[in-house]
Amino acid sequence: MTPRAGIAAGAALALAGAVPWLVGPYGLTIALNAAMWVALTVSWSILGGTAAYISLGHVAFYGLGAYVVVTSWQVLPLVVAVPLGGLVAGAFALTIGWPVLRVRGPYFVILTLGIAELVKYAVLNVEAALGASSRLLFGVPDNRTLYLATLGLAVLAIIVAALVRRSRLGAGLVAVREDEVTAETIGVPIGRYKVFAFALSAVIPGMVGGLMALRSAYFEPLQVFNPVISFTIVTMAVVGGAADARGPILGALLLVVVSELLWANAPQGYMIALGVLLIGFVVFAPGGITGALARPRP
Amino acid sequence: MNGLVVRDVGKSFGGVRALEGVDLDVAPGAIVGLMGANGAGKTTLFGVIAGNERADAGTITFEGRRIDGLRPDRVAALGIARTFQIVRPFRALSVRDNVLLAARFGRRPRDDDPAATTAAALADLGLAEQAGRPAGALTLAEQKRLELARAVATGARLVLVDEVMAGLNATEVAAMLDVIGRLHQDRRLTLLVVEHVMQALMRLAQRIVVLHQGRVIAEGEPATIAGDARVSEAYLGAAP
Amino acid sequence: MDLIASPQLLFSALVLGAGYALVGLGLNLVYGTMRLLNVGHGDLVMLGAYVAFWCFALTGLPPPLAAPLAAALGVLLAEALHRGLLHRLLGAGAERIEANSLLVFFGLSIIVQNLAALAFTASPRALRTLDDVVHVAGVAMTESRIVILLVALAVCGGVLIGLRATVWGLAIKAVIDNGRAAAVVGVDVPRVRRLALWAGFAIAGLAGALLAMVEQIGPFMGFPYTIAAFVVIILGGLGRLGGGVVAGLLLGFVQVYGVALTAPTFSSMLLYGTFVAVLLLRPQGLARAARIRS
Repeated sequence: MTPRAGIAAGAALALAGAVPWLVGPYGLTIALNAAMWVALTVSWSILGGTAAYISLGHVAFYGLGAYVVVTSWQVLPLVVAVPLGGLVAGAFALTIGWPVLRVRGPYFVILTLGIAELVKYAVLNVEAALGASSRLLFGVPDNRTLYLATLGLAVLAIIVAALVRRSRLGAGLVAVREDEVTAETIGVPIGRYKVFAFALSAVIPGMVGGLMALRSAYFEPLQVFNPVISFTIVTMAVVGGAADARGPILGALLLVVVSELLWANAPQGYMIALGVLLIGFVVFAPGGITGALARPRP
Repeated sequence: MNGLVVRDVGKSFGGVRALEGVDLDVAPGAIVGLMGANGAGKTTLFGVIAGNERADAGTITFEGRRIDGLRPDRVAALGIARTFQIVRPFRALSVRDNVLLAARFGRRPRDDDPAATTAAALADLGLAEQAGRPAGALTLAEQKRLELARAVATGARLVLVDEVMAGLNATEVAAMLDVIGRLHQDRRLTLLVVEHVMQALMRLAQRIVVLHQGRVIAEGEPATIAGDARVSEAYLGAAP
Repeated sequence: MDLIASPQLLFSALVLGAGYALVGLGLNLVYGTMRLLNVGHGDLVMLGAYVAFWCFALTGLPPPLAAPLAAALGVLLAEALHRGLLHRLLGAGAERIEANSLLVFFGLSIIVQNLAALAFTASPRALRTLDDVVHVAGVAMTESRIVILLVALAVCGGVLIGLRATVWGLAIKAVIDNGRAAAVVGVDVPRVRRLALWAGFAIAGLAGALLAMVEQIGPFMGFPYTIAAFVVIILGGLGRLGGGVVAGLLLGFVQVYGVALTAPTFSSMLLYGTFVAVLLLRPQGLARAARIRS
């Protein structure tokens, strides 16, 4: 990172941190959304952007983290409960990673979709067994605290994604995206790398899920494990450009703005817009906005 | 024996026995040629050695270590690299990045100066000028050399060269022969070379093994093989 | 334990399985000829269900008679899709293109679902008809379920026979088996694909119209059927439409008997669990068994 870019990033971060004192409650809501989606999409891109294994089931990690927080926050301090949610999500990804990541291409995509639904119904059944159909949370932290925490997660996600990109893991994942068989033949341990990236991409979404459960002060499995969340993450990444470091951030911020314009009036309108954007970009600009702007190197 | 030892290897695909009872020895520093008509099992044998496929019978040892059943990245870590018959460059990446990846992974212990290894490999294969171009933009001959550059950049001691002359014109073949010869000498590589271009193989290899329908049917010096009746029968008989 | 052996349960399993088999058959035709995974296949079922609902609500037309209308809608949508997008997606079947086409279908699915929600509101609908109970061999069967079972099996049977006995059927089989080889022997592959697309979508719409008699109708009802259809094509084997029908029936049995052994709340878990299991046990998806290599 150049010194100039570093200063710009620092300034942006300071500004972002000051937001709760600069805007009213409505502005804070938008900022919270923005931080959430950036954290989610950047984390997703650790696997989806570098290795091109497109997970359409990331809401499973988000939901698991939420569930952990919702069931433990009365007994554990939040500083422990939220990271625990992330850890559980990561552990889950690690556990299912080996068999799941052997599945390639479009089958991986629909498999993740199916797993997310499976997890949803599993949690639903557990809740039913516990006699809880939904949970209300009382005494949750205020939005300002939640915003700062989510902002922290967004920054963490950006840092982790950058570290991965620069590491040998990131290089290996790029090779996996290009040609998995050849990558393995030149010595990339593709199995280990894919699973690790998958687990890594799950941790922060787990924590974000926990924070969002606190934000809504309400937990109901069918609502929390909403496939729309997975779909939105993927669309944001595709629109911004999944392979680029800035792409997921750009896509997330852009679509948060779009949602502010459309959601209030008709959430279906926003979904349709997302669908159109996803199709449009996949067909016409698969590299996203950052991909379209990038000029070929001499 | 310190080189590659293939013993009694067999492999089936569905109902077809692609390899049967294959024995093969490649001494360190040797260049052994592998010959056979299409479908004889040459690429399958490479796949089994390199770990892309799993043999269902027999053993493969390299430098005293059993390697059959190991995943390709483990085999690469032990010092074996292969090229692919149909080239598989990382198209969107630059030529340099293609080779750099191989240098960063490949053999253990890990390379402590992958950049230098990459530069050396590119220079040896005459690709230094192309280093910044995307691999997909190269000509076929250049992509074949890229395959080799990647293979040597892994730090491999044994390189499985799969039909690297296919699709090249006479000038390019001569150049490639030259390159391989120099690689063999300068880097003290062991080579197992599959080739259809007969004259090239005869000049390159010190010993030739002939596969036919998954079995070894002849073995010996190039001159002997050229005159072997069974070999010409297998070739003529198997001609489409 | 008596419950397990009851013919009542068997009937339920058959009906559900027949529905799955029918929906899956539609997807199999599309996937077999074009290798495109339509994640929005279930939404065609949803649209067919709405056609039946509105026909019934507005004119009193019973769903089995609305089914051809739903099928016709399917054909229309197939043609629109074919002209609008597919020429972009069909081509070299590189893995990434397949993954990308899946995203496109997913986007379409979201759009269709939300358009339906806008048009019809998200409130679930239900229609009640043909619910006289008939007793056959001691088993109580509602008429609607009998109709579903019979029509589904008839259509599946008809298609399977048609694939063997008609020229177009054989052409479809040839394209499913090996598109390139089929082109070489003179089959008009693009036209066959279009026909298969029409048929696949029509069957889905028809299935939706029938299922409207027993299912709650809502804009988001389609997804479980998409999942079931995928189980059918993966378990049944690529291009093995007959195998697909068996797979559909099997899935119905797994769900019905699974619920009987556990509890109704496990119904969805059984469906998605089977789907996940099938995909994990066949990680190559539908790759043909071992290509012979030299």
